[in-house]
Amino acid sequence: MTPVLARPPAVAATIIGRLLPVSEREDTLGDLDERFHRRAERSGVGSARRWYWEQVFIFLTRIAKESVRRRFNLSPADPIPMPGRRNSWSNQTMLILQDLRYAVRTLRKQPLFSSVAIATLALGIGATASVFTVVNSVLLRPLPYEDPEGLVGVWHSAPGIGFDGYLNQAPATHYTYREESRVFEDVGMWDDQQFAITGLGEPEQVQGMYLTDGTLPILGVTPLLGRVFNAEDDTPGTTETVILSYGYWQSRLGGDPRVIGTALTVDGRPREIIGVMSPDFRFLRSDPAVFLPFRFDRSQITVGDWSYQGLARLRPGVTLEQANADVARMIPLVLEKFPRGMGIATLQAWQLGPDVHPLMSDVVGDIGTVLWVVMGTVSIVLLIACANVANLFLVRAEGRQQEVAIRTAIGAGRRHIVRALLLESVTLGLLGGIAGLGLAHVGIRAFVSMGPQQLPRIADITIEPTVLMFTLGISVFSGLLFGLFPVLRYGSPDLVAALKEGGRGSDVGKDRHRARNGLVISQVALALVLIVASGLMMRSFVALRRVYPGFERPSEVLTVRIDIPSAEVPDRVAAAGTHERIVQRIQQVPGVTAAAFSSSLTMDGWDSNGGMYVDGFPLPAGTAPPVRRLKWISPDYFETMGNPILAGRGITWSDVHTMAPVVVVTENFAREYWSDPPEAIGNRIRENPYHPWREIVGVVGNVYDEGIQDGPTTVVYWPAVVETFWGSDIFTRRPMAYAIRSTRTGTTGLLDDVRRAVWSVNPNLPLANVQTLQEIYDFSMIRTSFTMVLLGIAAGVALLLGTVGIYGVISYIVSQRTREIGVRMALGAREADVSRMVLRHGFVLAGSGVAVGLVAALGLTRLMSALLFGVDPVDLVTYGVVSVGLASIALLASYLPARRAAGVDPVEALRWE
Amino acid sequence: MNRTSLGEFEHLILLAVLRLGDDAYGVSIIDELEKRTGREISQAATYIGLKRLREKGLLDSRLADPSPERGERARRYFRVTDLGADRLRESAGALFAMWDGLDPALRERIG
Repeated sequence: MTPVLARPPAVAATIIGRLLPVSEREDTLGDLDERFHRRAERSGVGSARRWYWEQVFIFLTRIAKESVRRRFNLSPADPIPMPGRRNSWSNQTMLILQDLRYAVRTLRKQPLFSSVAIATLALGIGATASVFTVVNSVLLRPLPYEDPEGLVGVWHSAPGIGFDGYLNQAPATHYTYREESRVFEDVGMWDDQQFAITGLGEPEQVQGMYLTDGTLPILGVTPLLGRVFNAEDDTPGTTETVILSYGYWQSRLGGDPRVIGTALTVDGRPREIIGVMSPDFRFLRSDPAVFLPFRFDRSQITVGDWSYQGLARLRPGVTLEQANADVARMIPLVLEKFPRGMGIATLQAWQLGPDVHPLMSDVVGDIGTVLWVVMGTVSIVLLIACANVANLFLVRAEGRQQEVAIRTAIGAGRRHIVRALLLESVTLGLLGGIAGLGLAHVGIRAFVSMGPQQLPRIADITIEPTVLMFTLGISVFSGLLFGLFPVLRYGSPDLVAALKEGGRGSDVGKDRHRARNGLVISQVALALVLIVASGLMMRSFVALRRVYPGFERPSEVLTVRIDIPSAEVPDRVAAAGTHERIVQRIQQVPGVTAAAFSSSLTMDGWDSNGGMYVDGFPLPAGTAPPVRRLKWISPDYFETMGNPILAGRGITWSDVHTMAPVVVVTENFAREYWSDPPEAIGNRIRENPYHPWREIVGVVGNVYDEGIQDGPTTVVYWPAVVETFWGSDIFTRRPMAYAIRSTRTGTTGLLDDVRRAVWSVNPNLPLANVQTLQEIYDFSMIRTSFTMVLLGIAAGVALLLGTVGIYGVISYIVSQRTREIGVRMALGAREADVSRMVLRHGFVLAGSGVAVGLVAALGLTRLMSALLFGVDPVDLVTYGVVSVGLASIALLASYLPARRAAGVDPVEALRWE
Repeated sequence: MNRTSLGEFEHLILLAVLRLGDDAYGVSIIDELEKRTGREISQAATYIGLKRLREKGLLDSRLADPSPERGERARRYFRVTDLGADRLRESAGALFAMWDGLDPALRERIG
């Protein structure tokens, strides 16, 4: 039986065919086929195909060598000297391959040069690739939902009360938009919320989320198990349901698929588990453990409660302008559909308008500025690295001038020499890129694990094909960039001069140093820009730390959040009483010097806001009162936080128990209406023009509730229980944040004692958000500290590379001028004269670099003004200190070569000739 | 060295073609070289050697016999020309002259 003939790989055969002259193609390919079949019979088709492919490369190199030998009339035994020019496609390829091998060989022959160059590039490329990975994952990659371009965040603007945008949804607006819209496929609404889960071991407070039934389908996500919410789940009076995240299902319920249909106790009420989300699902920026439907009672909804976040999916072809116009059209409809609550006058005073924007910006937030600034920064580091390598290359190219001249003399064209030089630099660039990718891999892993939690989508940060392409791109770009300098300088060598000089160092021609000097100047200039930028960030950070934030010694303050669900203590006043008993127990814990609670602590991110009317300051018609931050507190709150009472008194237990109509305000609030804090005492304010007035009994120091950067917040503090407020007869907050000042803060012993104190009052209450006030404080500054650290690292690398650059160039110039220096000394120059001469050169370079850098920095630091605090982008101190410092370091880098120059022995130096 | 000088590998190819007589074509030449020299011979090198020898006029060639195991492609048969034979004789003569009468002690040094 004749076996079916296997065929050799067609592509390989075509390549070999192309390498051969037509007249010899047929028989040579025939020979290859014959041997292929023999191999296939003997050791299998796979091995034969491999063999055939090997033949491609053997033919390539053999024919390449042959074509070179032929050109130079050499016998097969002779080595190949210089490739010549041939224009056929195959010859070109071959020559490039050969140049590549030559490049690799040259680089291997100079391991020190190559490793320094590769390390420098790896640093620059690695840093750039790392930051690009973050930029790509956070800013550029589309959201991981179905058809993400159609997703929008639905918010409002209300310039009348200071909201240029990002004013929340109210249930009334949500239902109006969902029912009346002409542009949205559907509208959803959601809100972060913490829930207490009991019945699975110790009671636990978890991060969860309320959703409307439309929300998850808008994102186009399907659950791993079960189903998402439907309209029935989101209607009061039906079975209460809950959806779990994959992580929570795995960690607390063992990943058991039979949990669907069983009950989970959330805030003391059993809820049926109807679904489990898929492992990679994140809800925009957050990763909640449980999802619950809102279950609004539509008949009870009034216009108000602007506390929720909206999102929607646009109908195909709808633009953002159309969407905004449609929301503007629907705003008056809200009042028709929900006649109770805020009236037309208030909405007009607010100047309520639409703010529909891409959902991406809700997810990414304001991190974009930081990331782009950092991206710009590392690009500068990459440029500096390229300048350094370019300098190394120039020095080396100079040493190889003779080699280039000989190549030219025996017939290599300019094109060929340029190609050879560029191939060498691009090869280096690629090697640097590979090493840089390794660095980026390590860097990204460290970055993600250290995790600035404020950075959105941090879990999604991965090196993906886009990053690889980018890295390849910048590697080749870098290679071409620094390869260009020697090409421009030596690509067409002056044959006669090069050969005559015999490759020996000489001081002929000043322009020889021009390229190198230019590179050093630009390195110093770029380094200056980075150091100024990082100096400005440092000054911002110092300025932030210097501001009194509204508390003192935050590292001594332990904070926890405790929620008392209505299932646990149905009555509101009783819930407040539970908080009171808890705080009193905590005050008895050994080592605790003060303890108090508040609906939110300074900078902890939980906020309530409301407009405030002030007695004696009537508002112009058609305007709304300014919105203030509101907090409901226990006695001793100011003492525990360390915020001084400037006038009057704080809140007492008797105020809480009697629901006394009293408030405490911050200094900036008092000064807005009265010239001095004590004058505020006895004045009256209220949150609603129809409610009773409350008396200001105290004024406390300013607090920076939004973080130092945003300036002090005007806060109105209320007793923990208030009468007649926001439509309730008795108003209080069930979740409270505790501040516990103790020298034992930071020990697990204290936390255990606090936990026992809480559970001695009620064993079903979980402690959530355990952290120190210091952590809250640091977190509020994370954007500044994060930018500062990254810029600082980049500036440090830039300084190092710049210093090495100056040192290298000055040393090189000294070595080149040894003979000249020898002559000078022989003619009577003193050592001091010589070192001054060298230092002057270094100083001129550094000075020019600083001057250029100052101009560039003036332009570029403007771009980061949004990140600065308490310091001008043109801060003379920073500019001055950095300039002087950089110039000094540059001088120091020239000092070593200068000393070497001064130590030149004239006799030795002259013997060189 | 000049264009007509004979490299070692070219020398070997000429001898292989001579030994194979009427059956000297690409594959059989490689087989013969591998069998006799014990080294692996690359087809590309052989191809280049044969090409050079033809250009120097030391080999003749003719095309014949397409067959299925060659993808219906023709074979190129080679034959040593008179000039080739002369050159072989010269080279062999030179080599023999150098070997002839080599001191046994010196022979030992090359094993």
